[in-house]
Amino acid sequence: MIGLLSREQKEKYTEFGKFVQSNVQPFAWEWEINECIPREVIDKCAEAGYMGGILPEEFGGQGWDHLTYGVFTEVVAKASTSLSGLFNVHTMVMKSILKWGTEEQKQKWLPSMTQGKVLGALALTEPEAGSDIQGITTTFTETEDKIIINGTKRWITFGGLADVFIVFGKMNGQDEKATAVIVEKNAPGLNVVQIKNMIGFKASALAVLEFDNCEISKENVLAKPGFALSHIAPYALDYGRISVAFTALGIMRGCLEYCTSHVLKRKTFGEKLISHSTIKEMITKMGVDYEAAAHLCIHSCHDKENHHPSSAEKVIIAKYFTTKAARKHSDNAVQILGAMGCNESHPVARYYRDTKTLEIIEGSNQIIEMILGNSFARKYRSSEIKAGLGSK
Amino acid sequence: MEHNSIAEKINKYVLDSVNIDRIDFDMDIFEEGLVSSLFAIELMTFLEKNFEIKITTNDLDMNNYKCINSITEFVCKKKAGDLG
Ligand SMILES: Cc1cc2nc3c(=O)[nH]c(=O)nc-3n(C[C@H](O)[C@H](O)[C@H](O)COP(=O)(O)OP(=O)(O)OC[C@H]3O[C@@H](n4cnc5c(N)ncnc54)[C@H](O)[C@@H]3O)c2cc1C
Repeated sequence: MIGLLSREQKEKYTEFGKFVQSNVQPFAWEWEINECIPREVIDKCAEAGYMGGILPEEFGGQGWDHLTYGVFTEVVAKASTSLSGLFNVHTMVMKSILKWGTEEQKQKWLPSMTQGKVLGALALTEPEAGSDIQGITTTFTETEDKIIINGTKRWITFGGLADVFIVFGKMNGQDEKATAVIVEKNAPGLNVVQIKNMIGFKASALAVLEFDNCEISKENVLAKPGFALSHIAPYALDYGRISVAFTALGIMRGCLEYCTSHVLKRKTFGEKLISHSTIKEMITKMGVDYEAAAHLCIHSCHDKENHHPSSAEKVIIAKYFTTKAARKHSDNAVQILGAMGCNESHPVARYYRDTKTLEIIEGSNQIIEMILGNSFARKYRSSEIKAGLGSK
Repeated sequence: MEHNSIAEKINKYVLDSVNIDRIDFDMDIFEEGLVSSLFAIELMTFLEKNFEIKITTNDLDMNNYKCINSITEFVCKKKAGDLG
């Protein structure tokens, strides 16, 4: 992985590693137990300039390229998947406002978000609509100068801590056009209820958002009604998937580091674990998948940087491969660590739990199979046609 | 770049992205359900990159993207600065 980075990216990798070593790693377990990340930690991230890393300097960001953002996520996720979830949703919200927001919306939200004074969360999923996102039933009703929101959003990462949400719903009286709006946490009629007992992302302050005649200004519509599910959500989720792919990469990196250290020390039957061929096989597969996943993740970031039209698909491929690989290798990591890996105090136990959720969020891997299956079938078919073999 | 070569470039891109071999320049690509859920943003990225334009909220009008003809009109207007 490191060998594939530019000099500046390598320097950042080292900087992120030092930050995480002192501010995240030693406390990550405690956050999991308490199911919350203290605000002071987020303030430290803000001080270091990490809340708006990928945003342009014009809005107080650091102007990182996509790969630097990815590398940052990898380093954070190795220590705390829950904290990587914050950067994920906060970035999706900032990027959406940057792309689609009016000048006023950008000026109002982005500088305070890059400084970490305001935290963002993205509210798409509902009790009755997850993968089938067209089925959302949250309604937006226009009055003269307001929009009234009714409905419920569930499983909203950092919903319990966020100050501002992008909420997706359907605009009443306008052909039920899918619309996105910006909602402040203290909007009248919004109630936030924290969700406990997740198996993964335990400290990511997931929440239910209940909108009961919640009132917002009409100026809070993001972009135009009708484009929320075709443009705004996919644009945001593209960043979400970069984050999830690199989160899985960070977990694989962690699995490798903990497992290799262990198998070089631990002896069974008079020999180090690494001497046993089945253990070697597990370590080999882990290392090979880590390298392969790193290439896919990096390649997708390069395509995104170059604004390549197929970058969204490359990101999906990276998310799919990396989350599946991380799932498999976190399982093997627990196996290699034995009972130690079965105790919550060991990071691989957390990896084991968190990787299950990575296969569900930002487009579950089944939904990705629907997209990629069709896309690969089409690509294969068109190359047949190009070769003159297609049946007309 | 003139109108016809813009249309041809868009036609080629759209054809590469849909599940049919030939497409009418007036055929509604979104209504026919020919494309994946990623297509709208992939098309946006394609247009921005290949025709050096920037698509903003003001350009979010389904009439701009309906079919190859309307996409071509949109790109031509955008390049001429008619849409800001
Ligand atoms: C930790 C965590 C954080 C989250 N954070 C957020 C957030 O910040 N914002 C937000 O809006 N949402 C969030 N979610 C919700 C998440 O996006 C949804 O869980 C996800 O979209 C899946 O929806 P669902 O849970 O309703 O499952 P369903 O859509 O009900 O699907 C159930 C199962 O069926 C499979 N499935 C569905 N349709 C098909 C099909 N056609 N073919 C084959 N299999 C299918 C799915 O893959 C899944 O395995 C979060 C979820 C988790 C677990």
